[in-house]
Amino acid sequence: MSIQFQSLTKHYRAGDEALSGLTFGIAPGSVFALMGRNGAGKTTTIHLLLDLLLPTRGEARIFGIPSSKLGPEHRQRIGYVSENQRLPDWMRVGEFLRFLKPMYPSWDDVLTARLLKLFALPLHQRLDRLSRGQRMKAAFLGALCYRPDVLILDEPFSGLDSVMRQDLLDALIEFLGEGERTVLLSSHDLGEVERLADTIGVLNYGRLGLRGSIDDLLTGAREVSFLTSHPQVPPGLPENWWNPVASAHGITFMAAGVTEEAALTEAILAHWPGAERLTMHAPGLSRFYIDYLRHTETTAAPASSTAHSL
Amino acid sequence: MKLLLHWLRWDLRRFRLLLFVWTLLVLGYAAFLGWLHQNILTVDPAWMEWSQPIALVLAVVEVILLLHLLSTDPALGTDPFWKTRPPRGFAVAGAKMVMVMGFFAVLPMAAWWTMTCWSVPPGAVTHGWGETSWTLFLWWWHAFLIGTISLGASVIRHPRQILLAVAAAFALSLMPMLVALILKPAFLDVMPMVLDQAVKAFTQPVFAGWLLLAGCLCFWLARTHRTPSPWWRLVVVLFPAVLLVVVPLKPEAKRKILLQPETPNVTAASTIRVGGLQLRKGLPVYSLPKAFAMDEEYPWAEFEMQLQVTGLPDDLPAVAGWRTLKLTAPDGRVLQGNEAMMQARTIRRMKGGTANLLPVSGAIFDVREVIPFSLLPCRAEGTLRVMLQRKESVEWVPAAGSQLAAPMAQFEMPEDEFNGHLWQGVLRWTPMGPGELGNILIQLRKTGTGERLPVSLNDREIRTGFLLQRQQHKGHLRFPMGVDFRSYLRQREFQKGFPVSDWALELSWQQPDGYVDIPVVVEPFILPRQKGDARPMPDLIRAVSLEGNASTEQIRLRLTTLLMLANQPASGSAREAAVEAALEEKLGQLAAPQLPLLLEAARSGLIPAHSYYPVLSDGPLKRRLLTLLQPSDLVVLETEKELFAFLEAELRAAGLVTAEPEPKVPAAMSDAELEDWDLQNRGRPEGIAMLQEAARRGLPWAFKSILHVIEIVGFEETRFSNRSRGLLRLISTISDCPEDFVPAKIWLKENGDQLVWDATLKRWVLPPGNPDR
Repeated sequence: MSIQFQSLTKHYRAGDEALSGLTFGIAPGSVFALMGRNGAGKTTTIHLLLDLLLPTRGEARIFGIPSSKLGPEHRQRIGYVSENQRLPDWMRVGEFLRFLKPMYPSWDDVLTARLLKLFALPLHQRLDRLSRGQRMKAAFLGALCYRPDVLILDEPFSGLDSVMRQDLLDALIEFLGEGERTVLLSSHDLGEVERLADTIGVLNYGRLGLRGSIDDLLTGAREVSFLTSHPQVPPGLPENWWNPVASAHGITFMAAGVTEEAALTEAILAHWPGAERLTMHAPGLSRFYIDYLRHTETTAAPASSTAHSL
Repeated sequence: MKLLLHWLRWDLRRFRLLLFVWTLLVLGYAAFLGWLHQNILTVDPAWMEWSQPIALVLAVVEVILLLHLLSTDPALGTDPFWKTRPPRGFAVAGAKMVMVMGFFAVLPMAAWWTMTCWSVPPGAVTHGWGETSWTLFLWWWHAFLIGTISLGASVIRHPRQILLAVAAAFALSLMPMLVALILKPAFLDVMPMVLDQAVKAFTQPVFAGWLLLAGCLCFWLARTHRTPSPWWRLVVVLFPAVLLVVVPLKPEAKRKILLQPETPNVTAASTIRVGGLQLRKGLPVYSLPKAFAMDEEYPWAEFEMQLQVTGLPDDLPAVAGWRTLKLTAPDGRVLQGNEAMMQARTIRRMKGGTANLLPVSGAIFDVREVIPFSLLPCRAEGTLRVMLQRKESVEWVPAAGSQLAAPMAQFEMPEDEFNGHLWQGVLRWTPMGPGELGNILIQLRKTGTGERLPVSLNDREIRTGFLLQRQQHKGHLRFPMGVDFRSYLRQREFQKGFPVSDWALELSWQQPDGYVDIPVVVEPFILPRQKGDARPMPDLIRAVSLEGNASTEQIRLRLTTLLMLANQPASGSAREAAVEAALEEKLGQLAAPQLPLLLEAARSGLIPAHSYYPVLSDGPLKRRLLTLLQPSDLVVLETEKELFAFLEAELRAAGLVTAEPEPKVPAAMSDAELEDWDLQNRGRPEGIAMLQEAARRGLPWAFKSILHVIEIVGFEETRFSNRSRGLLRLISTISDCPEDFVPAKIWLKENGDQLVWDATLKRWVLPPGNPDR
């Protein structure tokens, strides 16, 4: 695993559990999107991974090395971009690149020139005079030019306009296409996640509530709707039927982990014998993710520390 | 290291503007001081006033810059840029420490040194690590600032927290004083050592060094860990605290090897022949040091003696000091004096004239090297430099209508000087001829009567004042002055300001007027017992050799040494007996012809009679003297009854001592006798009965004498000035002073210096025309 979390726990204060026993790994070459509501623990996870915070228990590893023991030779292979990252604002863009270059033996001048051209950054502009989007581009520049093996992105696209997003996405996609790069991406932007990530994990109240490849998750999910003369939600429905909603004439819900549609149909009829005009189709990531979050809301507190690996 | 240098390079670039401004300020200030020194005679004195404000501004700027530089790239927090990049924490911290040390320790001290080397006359400003050295002060100040701010900056999460952290660091730095406060009541001694520019602070470079080390180490340790754990942060806090508490404040007494005061510092010289001038006879110099402690801060042994000199021009002060000196032991070992230290030592001054005594000091040996020469008959060879000085003086009468000095700034009652007040003021004195201001003598002279008041430069002010205020050879100066008032009335007079018409300022100084270097050979003499010579006293006594071909003078000096060694207080009867036995053995070697030498050793006057210990006054010395003395010899002691008091019984038996007449009681004394006593004992409250008798008789001088005593002892309730039977009550019998205690005090303060003697009334009264009369 390029990145490994083992029982990672972080308490900011007694009783204030930001992360609880987080355990999962990210395979080399995969793009993992860490998702979740605000305050779910995504940034804390990344800070612990980069040794910017000390864990209460457990540990995070990169390249098999515990975060607290990462040396310069390891950090030279790690890229980090965050929406809140402080940059050396007193530098101009050109100085910023000259400042970074000696720290990274693998610094690629050709790539730097290409990204500079792609991002259209003014070399003589001070970083604190750049717009937010340009600052993010500069941050990307400072994280990609040495071709890191692991790239960690913390909300890199938030607050950017469409053009800026597209520029950054293009750069990222080009970066991913160059070899076996591992990316940990924390984002709320489901469109970008769907374009970049192959695996997602959803943090919920400091626990990993859902984890799996996007394809697997969406393939096994069905948006279900049907009409019934008794549009009521009976108790004792299966746990993987998320957010059943009764309207005037029918019921809708999201079924996860569906292997056979026939079996699902039988189960529906068992609960609503008069169900008719039954429809089910695979959802988009956005609908699936939102339904999952709503489902976890209805089940209130974190259900279990075990991830739904569907 | 590569990344440290890389980070340093970029930090220098990052702070280039601030560092450039700081460098300009430091260099500009140094240049300004250099310019002042080089143009001291012509520059407008107002420019000198700027030196202190500029120094203050520089200090403030330094604090702000240090706070800024050290608080960047903090170790804590999740958003510092450096923490997600390859350099280790120590590289980032190390770059900052190198930058800070370079610009805030090395640069100011280098600028100071360069300025003094180029612009200040040698000797005018101390470069070394002396007591009042500015080098030491610069070191102290910068070490304290850098150390403390580093401590604060080592644990901050964000630059915004730096002020709080630095405040905590200051508190931490002050912890030793708090500990000292708790552990012992010497707080007031410790406080100036740490915060003031007081003398002791200058002698604490070690403390400053430890603080700097602690601060830098904390900074470095905290940054070594990218995200210091709470445990590690605790270490960072405790480490300097322990360091600061344990190391510098270890009681001074425990840092020294303390030996019992056993022997005086005996140095002697015998026949000295020189060319040009004739130094006829070396006289021994004795001093009684309080303790033979090995002082780590001053590990030097001085060679002192007095030389009798002829051939000096009349009325010229002369100064003598060693330029070179070496000691040769009987076995041929040679010890060279430290010439650099010799020349750096202040040389004592002595009035010149024919056949004068020149105190000579300053030949300094390393105290550890000189221990093996302790009590050996050594020979000294060296070069003595005798400098002649011409005395010059000038009298300055201020312009009409002005005051010589402002009204009194503050009063101070020195603890060790109960009978005087110290007045401190500031005097601006502008035109002055050339001279050695270090030796300047300032006196206030009353033009009408010629009365003189000595004015001294106040030591504390000199030390805390700016460099331009002191040790200048020429130019404009401000003098913090202290006037020692012997009289409360005079003090009140000066409190109102010095009337120009009455007082003038008289300044005198010595002007160098040539010198002569004299080769000197000091025949073998007993080197005094040295610090660190820990042999038991009996062994020391036996080590003093009375055999050999010693000259008469040498034998006398050795006998003196013997007696002074034996006269040290012994602890325990067994030890006293051993010392007695050793001395008995030594004195037993003396034959009758050497009796005068023994007497002369005893009468050297350096062992006061009342200080004799039993070993001498009732032991071997007494027994030996009585053995050797013939009845006829006792006559020679008749005039030295005080010195040979331990032989009183024998002297009395020989009819040489008669009883002292009983002193008269005051009532039996005549008026003239009472007044004689008053004139001779003015200011001594012991003769209170005599003053009471004078007041009872209504003698005219009694009022002022009684008032004088009250001034000295104060108005507090004492046995002299209490309500019921003190001197105040006596004053009321000879003046209009009320009898009641409080009104009497007020009345005296208002009228005490205006009263006149009314011979008709035989009372002290207010002069005619006084509205209060």
